[in-house]
Amino acid sequence: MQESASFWLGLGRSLKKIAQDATGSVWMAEMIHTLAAVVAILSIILLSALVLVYLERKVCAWMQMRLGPNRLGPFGIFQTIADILKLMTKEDIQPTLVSPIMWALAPILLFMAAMTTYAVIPFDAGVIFADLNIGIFFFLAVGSQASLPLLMAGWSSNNKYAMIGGMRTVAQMISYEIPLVFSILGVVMITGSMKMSDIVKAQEGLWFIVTQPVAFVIYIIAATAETNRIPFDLVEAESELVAGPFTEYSGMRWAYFFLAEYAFMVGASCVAATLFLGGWNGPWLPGWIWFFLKVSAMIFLFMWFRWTFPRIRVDQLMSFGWKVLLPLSIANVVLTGIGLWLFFPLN
Amino acid sequence: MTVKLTHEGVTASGSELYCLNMGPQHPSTHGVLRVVLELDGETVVRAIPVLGYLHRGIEKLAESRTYPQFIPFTDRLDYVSSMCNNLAYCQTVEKLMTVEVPERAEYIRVIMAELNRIASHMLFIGATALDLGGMTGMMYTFRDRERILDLFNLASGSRLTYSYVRIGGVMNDISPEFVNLLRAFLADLPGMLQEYDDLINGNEIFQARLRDVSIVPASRLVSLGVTGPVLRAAGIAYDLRRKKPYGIYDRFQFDIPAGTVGDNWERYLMRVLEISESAKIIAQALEGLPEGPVMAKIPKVIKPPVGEVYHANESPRGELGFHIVSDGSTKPYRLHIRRPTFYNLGSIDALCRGVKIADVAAVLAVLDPCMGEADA
Amino acid sequence: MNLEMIAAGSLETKPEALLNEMRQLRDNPVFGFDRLIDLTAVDRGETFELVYRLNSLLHDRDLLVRAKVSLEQPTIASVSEIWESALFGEREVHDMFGIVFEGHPELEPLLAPEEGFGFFPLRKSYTLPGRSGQTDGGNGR
Repeated sequence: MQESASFWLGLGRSLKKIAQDATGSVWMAEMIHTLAAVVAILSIILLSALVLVYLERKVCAWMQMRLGPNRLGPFGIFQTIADILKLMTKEDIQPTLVSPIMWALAPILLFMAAMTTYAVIPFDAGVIFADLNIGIFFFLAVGSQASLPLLMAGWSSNNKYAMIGGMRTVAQMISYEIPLVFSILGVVMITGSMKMSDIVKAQEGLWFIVTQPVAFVIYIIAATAETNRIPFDLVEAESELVAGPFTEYSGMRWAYFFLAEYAFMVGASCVAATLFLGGWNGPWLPGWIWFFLKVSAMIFLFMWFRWTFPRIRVDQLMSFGWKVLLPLSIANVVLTGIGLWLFFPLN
Repeated sequence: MTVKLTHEGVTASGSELYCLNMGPQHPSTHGVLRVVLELDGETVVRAIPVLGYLHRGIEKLAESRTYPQFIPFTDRLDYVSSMCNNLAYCQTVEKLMTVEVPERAEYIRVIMAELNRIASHMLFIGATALDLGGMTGMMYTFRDRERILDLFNLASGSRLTYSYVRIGGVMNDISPEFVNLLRAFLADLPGMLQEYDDLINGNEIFQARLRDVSIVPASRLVSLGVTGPVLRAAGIAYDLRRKKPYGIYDRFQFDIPAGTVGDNWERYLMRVLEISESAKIIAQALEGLPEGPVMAKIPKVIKPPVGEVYHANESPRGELGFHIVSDGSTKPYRLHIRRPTFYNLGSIDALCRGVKIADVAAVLAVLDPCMGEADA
Repeated sequence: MNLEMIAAGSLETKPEALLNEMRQLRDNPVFGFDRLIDLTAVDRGETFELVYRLNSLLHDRDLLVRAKVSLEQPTIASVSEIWESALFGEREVHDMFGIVFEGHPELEPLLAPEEGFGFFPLRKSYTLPGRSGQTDGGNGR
């Protein structure tokens, strides 16, 4: 059991105290505290993207019996820095025939959606930016915004490959959102609340992966589809569509898309860790380290999928999502309801 | 090029047709092939292959090269299976000159040709996995193919374009080290195939992408002039090594895998099975390898008699034939190459009608085209 | 055209009779040549000699059919409606020799660029420029 004296909470409180003493107004201190929290979350996203770019290449290389980046720095750890520098110094090319506003807005909107979902992720007891009582619902609602910027990118690029990619995006993401929501519904039913901290507290005895194994599997499959990772990456299928909706983006604009993709993947891993793997629960170590380990395990799982499986075809994807996952997830909800009624009758 | 759409206006479902160009530069690995697709949504209505991006005028160049000088050109036709090309050409010239090749050279030729078939099929498995999204599969097959390339390097000095098979025999003898390495490779081969089975063939997604896709009746393929594993997948077990044995192929026991349905999966599976058959042939050839010279006694200046000859081999892609018209001089009067990929690519329209865009990449992959050969 | 000529392995036809004879060769079950393996041409100086290589899967037999067309009027009927492999084969011969195949649905350049080479490479009248075209031996043995 964790007391609410997490290291990060303590840091936040001292910051507030210092700000209050310095400025003399409670309101100002709150502002500074919130700003610091926003910076913290942004830095988590960016840092994790930084590390993941490098890690993905190393994990990929390890699975393919190669070495991966090993030139820049010891074990190639400065590779991401070189990549970032390259992307930042690239020429900003805007093709003439794109719709300028929509085309420029798409990566920004995607990144915004990815960033905002981090507001409800509990990194430790009390270390959550906004402990809304519709926590997980907020995550799903904002996360589902991802389909629109991709469609915008595909349409505004005035390019057939991009358009096909955009169309595929809408089909794929909408198809897999429903099983995603239903798989989470089982967890919410058992907890009785959508608040993220309540869900984690409910797992102090037993993780939900034990009581909801089917939901966990459905969640992983649907999350892979939502984040456009292989085996569901036909939106940007290289060998067919060059790069799908991202074809006309280069340099920093493409980097935004890339960052947003990684942010979504990490976000999905955080939600999996929170909902099914017990969140920040765990003996001896501080909660946020447990959280970090669980999220890392989930990220490794996603990477493992990417470098093992081939890509599924769009009609097979739709048929799988609607004819297999959806009935399974609904069955899971029904069975959870029956189980709850049997073991915890209302009195 | 402007493509005239199959029908003007809208289709039965109310949508418009549009053209998508899978251009000569494309992340799919198969060289400079361009396919213009006419699409109704995601379904292909017509597929038009555009060749010629790698045309190098090899047939014309042959007319100003002596017969031995042309051997390196044959390497670069189907650069993935150089030994088979060399073999087909040299056997054609030997047929014209009625040269008798020594026994040891014949056995070495068979070993090299079958080893090259295995290498080409391994590349095919990797490239197909890559085109379907499973990049790891490519790394595994390329790693194993490196062992074959090392063997070729030991024997001929090159990794990809060997010019090893010469008119009248082979370039030089193989060393005992080569034989030992080859035996070690053959011993490891079943393990490699098992690995591909676990990672690639046995994967459900991979099979779902290939099964029951692009089924074309065998009679259509025959009319299109398709040869090789694609034809065998449709049920016609025609293999030149069995029907018209060249060299000493009639001395070896091996099966000809043939399919029943003729879908993409069977076209893929044919080549996987052929790897095992080639390994059998190599093992038998190693058993029977006699001592002796590796080059026949032929004149220094090769001047075939006046005449015309055609000879065909079974290359990993199909029937590879050389048609040589000789006027009695040191250079061919006319040299024509019957290239399997050229005719196989003519079947793209038949294979791609009614499939999805994603399947076009799969069809191109299982056709196993090599553009160096298609364009000559 | 009878079985003895077929058994000899090669026969020569007139360009006017080509289409009929080819159709018989495929449709008559006694002949049964269902495959056109290869189609090429040879520049013989005053004429172009077209060489059709047929194969019968049924009877396991090959046949070579030759037809000569003149240099000034190099046209001949297309056999693409009999064997689909001729669709590509005839386009290649057209690019390289300039022979026109009447009845071919799409006689566009195949190996040549879209506008054609501008010349017909495999004709003997065309010599390759530079060292590639040397026919005096170089230092070949």
